Amino acid sequence: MHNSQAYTIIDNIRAKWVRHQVYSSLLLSAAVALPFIFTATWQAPVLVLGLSMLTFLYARSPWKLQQEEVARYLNQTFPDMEDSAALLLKSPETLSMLEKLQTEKITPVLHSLQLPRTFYRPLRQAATVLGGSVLLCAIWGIFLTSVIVPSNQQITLPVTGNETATIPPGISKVKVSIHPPAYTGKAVRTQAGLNIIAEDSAIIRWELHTSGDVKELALWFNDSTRLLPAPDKDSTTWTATRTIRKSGFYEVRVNKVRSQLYQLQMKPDQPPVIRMLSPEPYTTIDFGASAKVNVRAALTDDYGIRQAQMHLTIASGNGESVRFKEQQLSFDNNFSAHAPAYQLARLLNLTTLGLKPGDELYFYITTTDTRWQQSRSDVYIVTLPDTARLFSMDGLVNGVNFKPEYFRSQRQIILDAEQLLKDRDSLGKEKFNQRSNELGTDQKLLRLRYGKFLGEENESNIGDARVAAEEGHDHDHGHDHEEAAADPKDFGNAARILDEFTDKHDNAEDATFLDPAVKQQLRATLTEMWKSELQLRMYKPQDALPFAYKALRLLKDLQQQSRVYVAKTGVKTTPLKPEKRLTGELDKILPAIKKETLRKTDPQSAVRIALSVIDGLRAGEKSGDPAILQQATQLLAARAAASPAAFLSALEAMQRIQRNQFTGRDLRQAQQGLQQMLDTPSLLPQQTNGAAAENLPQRYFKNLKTGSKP
Amino acid sequence: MSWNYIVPVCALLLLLVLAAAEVRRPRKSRLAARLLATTIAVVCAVLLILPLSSGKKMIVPDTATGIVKPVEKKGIIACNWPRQLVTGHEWIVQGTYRNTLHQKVWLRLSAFDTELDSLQVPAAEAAAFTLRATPLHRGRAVYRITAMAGSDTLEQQQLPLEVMPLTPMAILFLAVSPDFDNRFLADWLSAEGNAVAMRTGVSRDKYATRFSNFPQQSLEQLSPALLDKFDVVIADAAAVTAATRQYLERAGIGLILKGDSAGTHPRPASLWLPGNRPLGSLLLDPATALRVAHDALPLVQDSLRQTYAAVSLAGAGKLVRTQVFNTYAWLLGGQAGAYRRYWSALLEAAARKKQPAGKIIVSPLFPQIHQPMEVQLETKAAPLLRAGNTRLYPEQDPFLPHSWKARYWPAKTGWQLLQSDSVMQWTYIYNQDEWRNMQNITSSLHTAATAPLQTNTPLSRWWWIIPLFAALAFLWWEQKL
Repeated sequence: MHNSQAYTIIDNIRAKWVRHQVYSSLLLSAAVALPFIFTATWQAPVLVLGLSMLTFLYARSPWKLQQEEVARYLNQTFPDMEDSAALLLKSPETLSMLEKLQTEKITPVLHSLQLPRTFYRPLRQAATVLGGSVLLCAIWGIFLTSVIVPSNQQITLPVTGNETATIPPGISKVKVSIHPPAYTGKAVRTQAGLNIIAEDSAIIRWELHTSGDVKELALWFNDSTRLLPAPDKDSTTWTATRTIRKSGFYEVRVNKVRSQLYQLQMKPDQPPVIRMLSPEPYTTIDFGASAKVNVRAALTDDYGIRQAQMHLTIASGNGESVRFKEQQLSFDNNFSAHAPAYQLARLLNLTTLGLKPGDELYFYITTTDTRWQQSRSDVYIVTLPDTARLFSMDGLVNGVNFKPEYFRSQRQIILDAEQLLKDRDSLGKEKFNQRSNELGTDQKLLRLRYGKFLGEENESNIGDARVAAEEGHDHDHGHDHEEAAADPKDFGNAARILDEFTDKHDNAEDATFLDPAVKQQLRATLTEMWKSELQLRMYKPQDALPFAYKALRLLKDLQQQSRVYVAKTGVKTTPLKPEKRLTGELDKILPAIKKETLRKTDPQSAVRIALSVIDGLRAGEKSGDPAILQQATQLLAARAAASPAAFLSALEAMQRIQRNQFTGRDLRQAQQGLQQMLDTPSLLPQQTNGAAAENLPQRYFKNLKTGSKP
Repeated sequence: MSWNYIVPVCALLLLLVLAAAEVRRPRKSRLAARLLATTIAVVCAVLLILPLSSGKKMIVPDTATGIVKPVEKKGIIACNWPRQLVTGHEWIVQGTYRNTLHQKVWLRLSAFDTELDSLQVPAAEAAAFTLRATPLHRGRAVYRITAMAGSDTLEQQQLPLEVMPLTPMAILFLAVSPDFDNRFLADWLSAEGNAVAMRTGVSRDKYATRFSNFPQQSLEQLSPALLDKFDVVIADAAAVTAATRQYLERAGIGLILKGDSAGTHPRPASLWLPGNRPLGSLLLDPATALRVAHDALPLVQDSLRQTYAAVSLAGAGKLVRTQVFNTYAWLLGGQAGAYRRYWSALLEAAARKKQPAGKIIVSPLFPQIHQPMEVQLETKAAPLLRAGNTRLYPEQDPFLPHSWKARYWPAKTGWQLLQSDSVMQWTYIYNQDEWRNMQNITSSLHTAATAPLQTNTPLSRWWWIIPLFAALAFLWWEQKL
């Protein structure tokens, strides 16, 4: 046999080489198969891996390597082998003496030799290729996830993207400086993108640096105006200036090559906003309450407020002798700082303004912002009711059967309370408190009487003889009841007894006696009586007066309402003579004939149809209806001029669709924009479709009507 | 020529070339095995390109009882929607979703990547759903319904919808006295392009007339020829004679009859259309509410279920009675939506049905690619029926001479135009993997009597890939020997 140790080493080197070849094939096939993971199925990458593995192995066929070749390789690589590695493969028997000596000389060298770096190169190269493939796939994967939006999600339209916005070809650098108007108090700012958001009346200066040979450069705006930037002497820096007055978009044409569209969004200066915090829009100050009104308001503006004023009008007198007095008041705030928000407060003392009972005060606030835009608040009304009117008997004298004694009672309570206040000093505290409490009881009785109209249960007031007596009254409706009850003629009158002991709160007449509006007002009246009674019971007749007055006013209103109703019922008309009616000559009378022709056109119809045309394109149709797409693009351009941030990307997508250079993303974006600008179509009646020809039900119906047999 | 022919012919040529090369090869040992392997490789390659499908019984009747056990389905197990809609009308998608998961599922209706309506289905429950939208587009578009659990999409199906433009109607008003409501309604209808003629009594035998989008003519005598020009007549009860009503009933023209009295005690009533669609409130007298006969269908009711408008059959036409006289209050009060809904409901209930020149009905409801589809044509004209560029040859119904039937095998998915001389209609052809649940239902309804229930499922490609590789490996390995 041959030199077994040396043979094994050489065989190991061969095996190692074969192994490396297989490994590098595997790595290379993995590198080839990796991009296929982006296909939807898992089979594709596996299949490609197998196929390319087979191809590589077949092309290289590493197992074909012979030991002799390994020996030759060793001879070439290692001079120490002295060109005799092949001898080691021969069996010792066949070796000559000299050859044996040579093998013994080189065997230790073989044991000690280190394989060079070049031996591992194929594996290294394969690993590098795989690494590159992984890197490319990773970049592509990130790109896919960031750019391609799943079809069932909404596309978020780019908002501004000043920094990321692309710069047109031929231009190396862009500098846009925005000079907001001085009154805004904002500093000049510059940006490197072409999408612009600027304040109203801001001056915009474009500075475009061109890279190559540029002969002509122009900015085209959506209203077909053109701005020709001025070049410097070597035609590499072009500058242009424009004042922005409305929103829109523009494009940059370098040597007549059109760029994409860029936003030119104007932030309008809103007029100042006035928010009134107090008082209520309509305030009534009842007699006895403090005649002061606290006016509080908040002013806000987007840049600054220059001034604010309050305008007052006092109307006094009634009938034809109403007089008006106008007056302007300023606020205490100092507006010189032109702050964007102010809190205003001012106390109006009505007596110092000269308001008397029966007068009304109207006021509103105006404010001006730093752009001299003025706004004004609603008109607020404060009234001081004339208490003297409440005591007039006008409404009562006219004859209304609305329990006038009850109104008189409320008035009586007020009169008594005022008298009590006048007598306060002479009465002494105990007497004063007792009379105040008695007035409270009167007030309660009155409230209970009205409560009855609303179906409220009476409350007993144990220990108060007058309440018990009053409850006797409640069961029948008269003040002379006590005398009547004692009438001996009524003895044994069953109806009378029943009447006395029957609870008639759920009587049908009671339930429908008053209509809901009246009931509601009665309830409000009762609430005021409650409050008045509370104050009287606490020995504060002064504080009770406003509530008592309000209750009286509400009752007065009730009375007036029913008076109007009663007045309307008594109309009598002359009787008609039926035989004389409609007997006039009508020959010469020609009734009116109205003729008109109206056509209904939906201005957005092209946009609606374009939506379905684009849906067809998405489904794979070759080309859409160019005329419809053209019309829809025009409508979209008009919208994009008004609000470029929302519609500009859709407009660009539509333009690409019209040029037939679109992607799926363009179709989605265009649909999104078109859909956003559409209103819901209005509902109109429409006939339904019937059968095309005479069908069975119709035949049946015909035969049913005529009764004939078919 | 179709792909189905090109591939086998190419494969046959390839096989011939390869076989010749094998025969000419000097080494003749294992010639037969090599020829066999070559044939297997080429056949498998062809089958990879043109997938073979196998028929599979979907529903197997129980052998003992003969009862067909329904297959337990999940997801959207029933769904329907109008395939055609007139612009401005509400589109309603209804169906049932069976949720077998242990979490809530959201059903979303979307158009052009914008969500229109959504609904939640509770966990482990089968729930009916109703999704609503008013389509914005005009023409054909495919909407989508998506079932989502969290962020996982469980199912997405296509809802094809064609939105048709409005066709104007012709309306005749007959009034005994000038009426605010008539005037507002006529103004609105004519502004929207409908033809309106109005006859209003102003004195004895004197009528004020109005013609909007309608040629001027005498309206004093209501001849059948004149009435035939209208689809709906809106009349006061006293303004329409018995003879006229008789003619309307015979001709199928709708009549909206206004009641006599508006009542004396009006109070606010909130009105509803059928299906809980709110209208808004109006001042109405409950005493004037209609007494609904057994053959009438309430159209407008208040919250106490008092009926103020009802529709009933009258001869070949419809009769709508209404007790609402002040709908113009909605227009003046800025509630144009309620006004439109109210009058659309009434006029649509009453209007005479359009008689189209032809009609095409397709079944099944979810036609699939490469599956037979029945096209029924109703026309009095010659039945020249085309599906895309394919001419169909329909068969006449033995009992109804105007009804024709043809069978068609759609060859591509998406919108497909069916047309004859008198009518054209777009139909959507689904892919085989769409609306699986629905296809089984429709096919079971349809073919139960005639054929065993089968579906064609393509065989897995691995059946061909493995023999292909085995054959190629053999051919390669044989050379090494």
